[in-house]
Parts: sequence; structure tokens; C-alpha cells
Amino acid sequence: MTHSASDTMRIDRALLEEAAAWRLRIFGEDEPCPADAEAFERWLSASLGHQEAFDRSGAAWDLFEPHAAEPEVIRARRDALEFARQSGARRWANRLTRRAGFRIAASLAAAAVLGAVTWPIIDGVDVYRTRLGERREVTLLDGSRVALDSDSRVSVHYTRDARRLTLEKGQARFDVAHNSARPFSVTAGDRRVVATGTAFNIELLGKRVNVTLIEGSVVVATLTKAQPLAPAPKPAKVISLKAGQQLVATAGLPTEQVAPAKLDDATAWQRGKIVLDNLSLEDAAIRVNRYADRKVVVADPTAAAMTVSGVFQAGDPETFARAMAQYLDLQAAFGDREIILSKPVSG
Amino acid sequence: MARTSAANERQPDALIARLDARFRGPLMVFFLRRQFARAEAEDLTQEVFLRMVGRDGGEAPENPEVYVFQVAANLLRDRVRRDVARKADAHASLDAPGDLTASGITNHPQLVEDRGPERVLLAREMLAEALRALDELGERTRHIYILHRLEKMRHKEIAALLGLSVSAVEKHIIRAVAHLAERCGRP
Repeated sequence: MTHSASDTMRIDRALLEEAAAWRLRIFGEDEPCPADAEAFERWLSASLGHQEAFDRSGAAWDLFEPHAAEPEVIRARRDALEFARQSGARRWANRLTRRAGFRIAASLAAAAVLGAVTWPIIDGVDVYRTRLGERREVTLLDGSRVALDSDSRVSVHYTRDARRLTLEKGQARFDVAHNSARPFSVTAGDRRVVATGTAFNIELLGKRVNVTLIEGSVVVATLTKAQPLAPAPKPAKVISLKAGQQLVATAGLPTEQVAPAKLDDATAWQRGKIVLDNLSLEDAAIRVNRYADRKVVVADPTAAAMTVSGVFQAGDPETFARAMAQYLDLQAAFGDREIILSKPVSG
Repeated sequence: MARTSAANERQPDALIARLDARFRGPLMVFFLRRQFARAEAEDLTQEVFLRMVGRDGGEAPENPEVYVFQVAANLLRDRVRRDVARKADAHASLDAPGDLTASGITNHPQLVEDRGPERVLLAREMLAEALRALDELGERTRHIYILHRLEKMRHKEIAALLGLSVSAVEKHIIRAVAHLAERCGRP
């Protein structure tokens, strides 16, 4: 890259706004198109001042991220949510789509959570849950974060020397604040994942537990019947996971498979996508049903065992059912509350 | 793509220049969206071009667009592995790599326990200054910035809640980011 000698390093307000506008476009929800990417690169390489302004806008972009759980920042977050709630409530009188209604409910819940954070909770269990179609992220007292997928439930029990969580339903991603003095564990079914500081995703899928390690390291223990709630279990077997690996366990079975994971697939739900990779139709339906009122029911046991792959939009069981009917040669009956997939009547 | 001059194409520099003209923008965006800082994204982009040239001894691949993002993804994977290994060594160092997913929804905060008291003090001072800068913004601009950057709400959602257009929401965010950059963005 070459820079003209006339580059002045004076970064004025207008230039910072230009840089902020580019940042908004580059980091938007959708990947920018190639033409935008090229235009951005032309802008960026046009002068050192542009690069400097872009870097500074980056500092402002993530300014409060590392401090999200500080009391002053929590206050600012609560004010912002309250502001949104009040504006939203005023508009509620007019008309709001169901989805927007959900969002407000989510904001309210988040506000309630943030409110709770300012009081020190000595001992007790907090339960976080999401409704159908809702996704939610909570920051816990120690700065660890839990992102809950639709229709999921996590209970949190913090004591002085342990951080004990349970994934009771659905799927969640855990970003654990490092603290080796207070181990962080998540129980899911009859498996327990123990970490000190790391990030991982757990999904309950029927009788299966899928643990995907995004970074750091964890151990996964099998709990025996007698001690699922024991504070310090002495499990028979402990498996260590490395970053990028996924463990698939089945409740009641002592064996599990560990294989390299596609991290983008394991966290696809955070982008509203359902990724099916060689899953039985039965398990695929459980995953699809996490996001919609209208449930997909697989009525035929042979069909339920067939393996399927594909990427679908969360909350759109109709497209999934149609695709499955077509690929697996099944019949789809669309009812109000459910979609039934069955073998076509022969003849 | 017609091969005009085979001799010319074997020149790694000429090939790099051609790749650069075509893929620099998309690759920069690719790496920036995966939480690398600008300077790192530039290095990684350059590294992709070098690997592209290295793979066939300077021969131009038939369809570079097929390979270029594959090479970028491999490079990213190598880098993340290296950082994870390094991080394990350093026991939660400050320059933890960002989230591995493309979405910015859950970039983990810098989860650092073992830092010295001076460092904690400095961080507190910077936070106090950042909060003062935040307070200088108009009420609506301040709240919209927080809803977007910390509550991770989409522009569309904020617009629906506040009864604004999406472009108005974006203008608020741009104004907030520019102001905070002016006040706190100096490295």
C-alpha cells in the first residue's frame, strides 16, 4: 500500500463518522457484498488518516465490552433497556407484531436480570429460560456469560467455592470467566462438563447430550444414578476435550464419541440457523421443533431412523417438512399445530 | 479468464498484484469480521496471497476464487489453534483471540483474572473516562449505542421498539461511535 506524502494525520469528527459508518457496514448482520468490500478497501487504503480513524472507531465499538458486568455499566444497560421498554410500551398501544412483542418481553426479562445482578445473591438458584423463538444472553455475577437458545432452560447455583449450572432443557453456549478457585460446571442429563475458563456449547437433543468445546479445555464426567446432585461426584470416567472437539453422549449409556467439530455448525443457532449434519430424522425434528409452535411429528419409525443433512432457518418448520418429504419420499400432512411426516400410502 | 502472458503469470509479484486487486477487499472483510484488528487483517490477507502463490510454485490457479477463501479459512484455523495453544501456555493472557464464529453476538469479554493492581487501576480510570464520554451523548443516542453494542439488539429491533427508521438508528450509532472514538479512541 502506498500513501501520499500529503497525508495529514489530523483526524476530525467528520472522518471519524465516516469510519464509524464503514464499521457499521462491515460488521453488519449480513456479510457485505464484494462490491461493498472493495469500496471499503479503497476507502481504507486511500490514506493513513482513514486507517487511523478506522482503528479508533474500533476502540469505541467495543469500549464497554470488557466492562459489561461492572456496576456502572450495568446501570447504563438497565437505563437503556428501561428507555426501550417505555418507548416500546407506548407503541404497544398501536399495533405490534407478535415477534416484536416477544422482543419486548425479552428486554423486560433482561432488565429484571440486570436488576438482580446489582444485589449480591448469597446463595440460591437462579433460573433463566427462553420461550419459543426467543434467544437471550445473560451475564452472570462473575462475568461468565450464558447464551440461551430458543425454548431452553438453565439454572445457576453459585456458592463461594463452586459455580454450578444445569442445562435443564434445550441448548446454551457458556463463556466462562477464568477462576480456577471456583470451578464452573454444567450438568446436562447424566453428564457433567467441568471448566475453569473456556467457551463451550451444550445441546440436549432427545436422549443425547452434545458438548462442543469452542476454546480452552474441559472435562466431561458421567454421573451415576446415585449421585446426580452430589456436590463433589467421584465419577467413574472422565474425558478431556480439546478445543474444536465435540462429544456426543447418550443418557444411560456409558460410551460416547469424540470427534472434530464444525464450530460454525455448533454455534449456528446463534445466527438463527439450524444445521443438520447426518442426523436421524427423529433428532432433526427435535431440533427443528425447538424453534416453532407447529411441531414436526415423524409418524413412521423407519423414516425416523433415516439420516438427513441440510441447513434451515430456525422457526420455519414448513420448509423443513417439505424438504424432508421430498428427499425421503414421505408424505407431509400440514395441520394447525403439527406437521405429520409419514410413509405415503402405497398403491 | 484468458491467459495473456504465461511468462508474466509465473512472476509471483505479478500474480500477487492481480490477486490483491481482486480479493484484498473481501479478504479484509473476512478477517475483520472474525475479530482481527485492522493491522492483523492486513497481515493475514497478505499471507493468503503468499500461500496462493506458494501452492503451485507461482503458477496462477485456474479459478482463484475457489481457493482463496479456502486458503483464508485454513489460515484462520491455523491461527486460532496457535492462539489457543499460546493462550493455554500463558494461562489466560490479555490478547485472547476473539470469538471463533463469524457473528459478533457472543465475543467473549476479556476474561482475565490474574492482572496486577496497576493494570486494574488503569482499567478503572479508562472506564470512568469512557462513562463520562458516554454521558456527553444525547439520551437517545446513548441508549441506542448501549442497546446495540451491549444488549446486541439488531438495528431493526431497536428501530421497531423506538419507532424510528433503521437508518435513523444507524445514524445514532455512528454518532455515538465517532464521539467515543474522539474522546477515548486514542491507543
